[in-house]
Amino acid sequence: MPPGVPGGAASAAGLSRRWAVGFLTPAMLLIGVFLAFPAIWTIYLGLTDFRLLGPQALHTKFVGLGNYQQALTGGDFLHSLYITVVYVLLSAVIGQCVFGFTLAWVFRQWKGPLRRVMESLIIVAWIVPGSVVAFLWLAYLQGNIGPLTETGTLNTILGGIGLNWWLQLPMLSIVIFNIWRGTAFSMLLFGAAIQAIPPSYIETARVAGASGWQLIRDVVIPRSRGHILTNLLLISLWTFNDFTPFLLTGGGPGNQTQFLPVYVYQQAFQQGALGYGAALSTLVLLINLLIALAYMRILKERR
Amino acid sequence: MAAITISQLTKVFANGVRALRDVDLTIADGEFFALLGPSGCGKTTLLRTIAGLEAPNAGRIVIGERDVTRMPPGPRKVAMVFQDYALYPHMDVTDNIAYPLKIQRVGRAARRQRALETGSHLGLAGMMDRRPAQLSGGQQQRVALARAVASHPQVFLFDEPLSNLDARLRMEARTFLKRLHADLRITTVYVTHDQSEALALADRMAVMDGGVIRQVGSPVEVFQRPANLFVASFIGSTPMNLLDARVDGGLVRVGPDAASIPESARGLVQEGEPVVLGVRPEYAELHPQRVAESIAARVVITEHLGTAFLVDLETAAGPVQVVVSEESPPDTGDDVFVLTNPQRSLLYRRDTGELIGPASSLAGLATAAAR
Repeated sequence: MPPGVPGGAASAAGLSRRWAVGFLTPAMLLIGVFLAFPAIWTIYLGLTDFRLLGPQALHTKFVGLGNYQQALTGGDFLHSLYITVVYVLLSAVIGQCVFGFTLAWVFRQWKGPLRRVMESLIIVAWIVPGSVVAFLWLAYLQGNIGPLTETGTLNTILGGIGLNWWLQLPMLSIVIFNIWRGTAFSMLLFGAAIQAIPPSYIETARVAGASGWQLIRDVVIPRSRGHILTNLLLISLWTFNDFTPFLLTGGGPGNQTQFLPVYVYQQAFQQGALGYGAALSTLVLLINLLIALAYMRILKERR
Repeated sequence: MAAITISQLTKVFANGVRALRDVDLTIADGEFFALLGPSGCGKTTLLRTIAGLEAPNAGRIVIGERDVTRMPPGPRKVAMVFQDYALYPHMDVTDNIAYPLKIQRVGRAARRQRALETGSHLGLAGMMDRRPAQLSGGQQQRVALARAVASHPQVFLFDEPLSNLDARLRMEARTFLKRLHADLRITTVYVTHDQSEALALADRMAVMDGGVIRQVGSPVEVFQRPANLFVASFIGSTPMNLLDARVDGGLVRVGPDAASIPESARGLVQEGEPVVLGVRPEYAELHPQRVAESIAARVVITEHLGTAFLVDLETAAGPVQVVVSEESPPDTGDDVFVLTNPQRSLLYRRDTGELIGPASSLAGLATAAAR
């Protein structure tokens, strides 16, 4: 034991194990109380028929895997899972990622105020609270209600098509909304990735005669691989767990936009089936873990 | 294989910096041409404009028979080697060398074959499937060269390709480059701020300053007869002594002392004309007594250079440096006399800074012989 360091072996930073435990304890306590315990409690609740109201609220029964059986055979959960995957693929993986990359690549060559204005506008869409943008988009895509037609801003601009976007094209509307909302993150991340590529890499390809597409394929994407996968991981999870669609469509019309978080909320708090909701939450957690593991696995592969 | 003709080339950057001003330059087919100058002189901009990475504001660039001024880089058929080599870390050596061939749509088998041939020629045979990170600096540099060679360009463009190597490797790589050029005879433009590289490698060279070419010539011409005071002070491992002087009879008067008129300037100056006397430290002698026309000086400090001593002197006309042989270093504080060699010393007009007399040393010797 080195002098002046009480208790246990010293680490590289010169701290004893006792000190290290002392520093970690508050953080571990907070994580335990607010993260680990609720997660375990949720897993437990998912094995019961606990309800918000009614006899089961008082006399909760242990039902084993019954809730899971209900979820996986009932159809509603599988439908929600399916449309959530479609929503993630279209709005995040394809929409935000491709659009964000394109913007970052185009802005790379822009200088001066126009670029700053454009970037600021895109970032505003990302940082404004969800409830606010939800209201803006509700007004923007408002359709005809009753005798008053052409109430929404977009319908007014387009003039005379009288489309009720939220009722007639709910999935498309929400996908476009989420691309608009989330592209800023991908743009910023890819902007940083492109900035980090040494100019000589790009110029070597240009001198060799590479077209813009060849340049992106052979130099920019391989050099940004880590950024791309990290970005996909984050935006996939964010979109998968995004609750803003509920503010826009409430899951409807019917169950056309009943994405998993919306379904869980409706089951747990509107129907009051807390046990079933907890089981659904556990499933969502597992799916999130699978998505994260898949990306991290690809990320680790040496290229 | 192609000559490069540059005429009236001007480049002004968006921030208003004039990097090139009316540059005219002809580089012959197969020539090894060095662009030398201090940082910010425009040499890299000139190279990048030849490559097509920068668009000139005015002027013309012709490579071979083709006017390439408005052409994108690809069809110019040039190959560029960057200071950082720009090897793609995600490709192995073969794919790096073959990358320009891939862009040229050479088939996979053919381009791998050509990469292997070129790589072997440059001593990379055993490491074709390594990644750049697994190679030493010298090997990376040869991969970058191989990539340039394999694309069969009309012109090589080198942007300080040796400056990332340590001193020893740099000497090896310099010899290697010279041999490669002797083998291939491809027109080469080589940018460097290191005058020893330019002097050692180039067939001809241009010295640039402030976006303007200050002198074009063979390394021998540029070293022996710098065309103006800028080149005179820039070229030489120890800078040339430049002393304000005045023509006085058959002499140039330097402060209270005098030196003989450089031979190449004789008959070309007027009595009383203000001039600058240029003397390389290697081309002056120190004497303990006054001999003929010499400049009185006091030794301030001596530096050991290995095979010689560099002596710092103080004269009435300002500081002077002289290189003396290793046998006879003077002591600090000694009073000595500096004797200039009229065949090697130079005279510049003080108002324009231009060299007096013929630009080429050979022509200079011819006039001297005729006299």
